[in-house]
Amino acid sequence: MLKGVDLDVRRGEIVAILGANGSGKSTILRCATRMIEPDSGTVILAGRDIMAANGGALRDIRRSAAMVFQQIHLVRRRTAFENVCYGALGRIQGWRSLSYRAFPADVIETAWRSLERVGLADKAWQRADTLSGGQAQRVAIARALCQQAEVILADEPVSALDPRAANTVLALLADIARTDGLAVACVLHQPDLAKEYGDRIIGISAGEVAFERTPATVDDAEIAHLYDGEVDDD
Amino acid sequence: MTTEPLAVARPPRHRAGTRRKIVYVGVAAATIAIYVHAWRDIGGSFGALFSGLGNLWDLIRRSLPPNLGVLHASIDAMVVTLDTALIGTTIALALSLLITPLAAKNIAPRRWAYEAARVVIAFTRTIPSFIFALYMVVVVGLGPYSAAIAIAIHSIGTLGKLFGETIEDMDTGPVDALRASGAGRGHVFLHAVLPGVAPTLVSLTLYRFDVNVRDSLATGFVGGGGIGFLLFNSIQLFQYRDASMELLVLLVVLLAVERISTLLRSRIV
Repeated sequence: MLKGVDLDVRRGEIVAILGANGSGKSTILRCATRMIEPDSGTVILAGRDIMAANGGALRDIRRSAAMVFQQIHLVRRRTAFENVCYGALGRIQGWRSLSYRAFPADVIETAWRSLERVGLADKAWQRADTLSGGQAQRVAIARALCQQAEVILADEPVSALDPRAANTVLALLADIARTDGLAVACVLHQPDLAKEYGDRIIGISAGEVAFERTPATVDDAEIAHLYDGEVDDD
Repeated sequence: MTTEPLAVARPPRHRAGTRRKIVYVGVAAATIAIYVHAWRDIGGSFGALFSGLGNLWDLIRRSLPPNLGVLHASIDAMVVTLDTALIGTTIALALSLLITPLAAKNIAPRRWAYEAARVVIAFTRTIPSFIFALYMVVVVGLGPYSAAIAIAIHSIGTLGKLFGETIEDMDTGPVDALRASGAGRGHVFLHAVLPGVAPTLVSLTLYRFDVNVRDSLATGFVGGGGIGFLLFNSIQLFQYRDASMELLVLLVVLLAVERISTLLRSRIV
């Protein structure tokens, strides 16, 4: 349960969110896009009140935020390129949305540039279920780029990755935030990675913001305190 | 160093109490009573079976050898039966794909739409195809067209149920991912749901075609054409040698269809 969480993520920065299992950190991201319905409160996503929107308006606001998941969630039987293209589905109408082959030329070009940005253009025609974990997560980031969102919400994007792949993915997210001017919120379990890549670190405990610091000012004791005691799963 | 096995008293076998024994006897008695009643209800008689063996031998004798003169007609009729099953299954597949998004609880847009879809599925699945065929013969006339429609209606129910359950069991991660990106329901179904379940749907459809070939036989009996119609007429007119040839053609084709269906389903990745 979240209690009075006030989270502000600005363009061009990457905010790392730390907390124990069940503290509510993933719930924050899912509430931001109403993948979980908040009971009360206001959620302003890219300048718009998502709580007041329904149907087409809700989908329109969701397009402004791209999610990157721990389980990655690519369409396994489709190629990397198709998966990247699917990030643009929200803005393709009519018969052109039936197959990626009919997608508008600008979407195709954006998809290629997104794949090149994550360094996987050579894997474009490889099926998603044949990619490694790190490669698949980078394709998911490319999908987020193809969506042309203003915000990237990454929910434990490196939990299932080895240290090298984790660093690659987070370096990519940080670069996207600083170079492309996107706002990136990233839930992490690894304080070291949060300090290395985050511009700000927010600690969540029992559904509340425990602290908000920069990497230079965060106290290791504060971070350790987040993981004291037992909590239920997220 | 060796160790001796620990000497433990063997636990006694648990014996059923009196109450449980009474339940066992009661269930056994009820079961026997049900079977006795059922046997009497159907007019079952071992005596009739044994005394009928002579009739059976006469039937076999009059059925052999199969009449080669109807081989060509049997093959033609079997092709009609296969065509009936093919068209019926295809129509059912197309309509099932329309109803399936409503029949899967995890993607249905509204509760009432889900319940309505389930009612349609239950209705069409419960009533056998040959009953639908009896009605379709009145609607569109005798012939394989009525059989194809009847098979399609019944198969919508079967495929709809199986497709819906397949989608309910699928990994909904990609569905969540596309929903979160602002994609509409249709896009999510087309690009996340269908690719995820396509191999299973194809396999189920092939299996359904296999079953529908047999169903076409039954619909043929009630005027739906094909080899079922031919077979029914041969038996009614006591042309048992013709019936034997038709059965032989039917058997060969059904076994071939089953083998091909199994082979194709095993190749689906």
